[in-house]
Amino acid sequence: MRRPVVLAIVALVLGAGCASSNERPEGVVEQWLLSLNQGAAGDPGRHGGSAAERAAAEVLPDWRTSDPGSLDRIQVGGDVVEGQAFGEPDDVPFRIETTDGHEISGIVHVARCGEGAGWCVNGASSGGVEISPGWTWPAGAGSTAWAWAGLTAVVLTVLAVGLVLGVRRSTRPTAPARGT
Amino acid sequence: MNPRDARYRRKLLLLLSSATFFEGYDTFALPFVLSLVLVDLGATVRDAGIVRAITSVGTVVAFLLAARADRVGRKRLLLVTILGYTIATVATAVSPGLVWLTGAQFAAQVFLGAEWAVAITIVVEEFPREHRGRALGIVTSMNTLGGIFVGVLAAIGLQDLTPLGWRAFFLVGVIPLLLVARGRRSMLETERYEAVRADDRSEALDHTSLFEAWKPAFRTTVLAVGLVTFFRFFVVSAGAFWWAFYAQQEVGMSVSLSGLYLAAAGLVGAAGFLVAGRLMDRYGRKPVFIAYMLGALVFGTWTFQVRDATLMLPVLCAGIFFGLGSVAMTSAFATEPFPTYVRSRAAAWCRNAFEVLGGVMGALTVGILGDHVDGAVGSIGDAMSLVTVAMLPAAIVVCWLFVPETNAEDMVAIDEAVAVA
Repeated sequence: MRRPVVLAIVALVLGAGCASSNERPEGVVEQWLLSLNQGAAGDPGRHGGSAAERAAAEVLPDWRTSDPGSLDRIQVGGDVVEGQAFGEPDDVPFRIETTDGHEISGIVHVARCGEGAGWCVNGASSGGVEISPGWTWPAGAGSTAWAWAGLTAVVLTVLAVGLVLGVRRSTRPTAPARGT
Repeated sequence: MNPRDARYRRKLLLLLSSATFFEGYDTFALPFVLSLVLVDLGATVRDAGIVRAITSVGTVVAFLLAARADRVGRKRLLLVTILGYTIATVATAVSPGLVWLTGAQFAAQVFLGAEWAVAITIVVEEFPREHRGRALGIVTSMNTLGGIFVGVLAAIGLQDLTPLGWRAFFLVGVIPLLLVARGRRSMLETERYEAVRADDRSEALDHTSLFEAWKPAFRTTVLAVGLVTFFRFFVVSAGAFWWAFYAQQEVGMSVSLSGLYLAAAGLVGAAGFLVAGRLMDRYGRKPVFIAYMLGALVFGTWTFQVRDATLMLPVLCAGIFFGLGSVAMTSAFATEPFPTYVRSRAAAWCRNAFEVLGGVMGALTVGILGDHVDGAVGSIGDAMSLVTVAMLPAAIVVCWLFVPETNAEDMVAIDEAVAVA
């Protein structure tokens, strides 16, 4: 029983080590757009303070008085254009569609909130963006991730079988529950 | 004349189906009207996460109530849980604030969780061997239909039809009480429960301890079934929770189209329960469960890799058919191998402890791995597929090696063997 447990712990530690802790700018933009879909309960300022609120007014002037759920589609593309110089904002393309069929696309500008900090929305502009297939959210799992999933499956199966076998071995049935 | 004739069983099936129907209904009702609730009660999205976490704990607490069925009887507990749920759902509808609503929904989850466990136990004890699987398929399928019903009510605009707004969704929950008011007098305690309680030999058995299901005779089976339900629900619950987000944010489907897909796939999923019920009566519980898990492994992984809206519908239908439909077999695993005096407690352990834990951990794991801002994988679709590949093989192997086949099991014989021992 000890060996599978040690293996599982090693796998978890290595897996955690492989994990990236960097924030993705497109993820922050998506959160910001989702907050515009909450009506009065939304809080776009959480993603960059007053600059993010001004950007919200640029994209959807009436977001605060809109019904929650008035956006039928919110898409953020994976093809982010990174700023050329340090401190220059990245451009994240977006497209939203309201429930009455109105479509708005554009660019959200994001920059680091501070040195080593996450991303903040600091501006937005509507229009001038073409829809391309690259707009669907990018897949994140490579062959290494699939190999990890396979390895986890083996470890979990061995652990589960070992656990049941261990319990069965320590048990002498006295009443006839079925099967085992 | 046998009071438990085919007509009685049909009425019983209707009553039990209403219990599982509203378990599904209530699970989806709050998420569907959440944004309206937040605005009406002046809450934030962060508050919504806290409400969700607290109410989920109610299903775990339901374990304590569900286990009482071995002491107070199946009929009495079913009626108590239906009455309790009705009071809780009415309390939700009249909520003056978020704290009240959270408390009311917590209570609703406690009663619903226990209601499900006792409903499954009644099916196993009241239906003859050759119809048990079919009856389990019908009763468990109602859970999915309950979820779809929320979508239908939202589509016809229940929130706008009355001045009650979102509160109208929770008043619909009084329907089971109306059914009980009609069927209460004619409902009987289960034959097996009455027989065991009337048997002098059962006095030597422990009808109250929560840990009776863990005594040596049952321990291995409870653990094996618990692990199978844990691994299965880890994946199924995460898939049910995250699919809409994946479809809208990663595939680019509109909210309305994804809702339509979910309703259509839910109907096909309900067929998965019914087909499973018939197949398991014919071929046995284990082979059908393993076949369903293999189907869920293939189509569940595929569903979260599809980036094309046209292909999504058939693959999603197949994923739901196999993934959700397999609960008909796990319900049988959690009840049929155990004698009547401990059956409800064993079912409560398997469902309210192992399964609910798997459900909470599954949705959480996929959310952490797939978080778009800082998740290790950064894609909900990929995280969901990876989790499916990692978890379902364990469910298949443990079932194959350790879960007993109970297709031909006679409940009377199991009880008799325990009494003699």
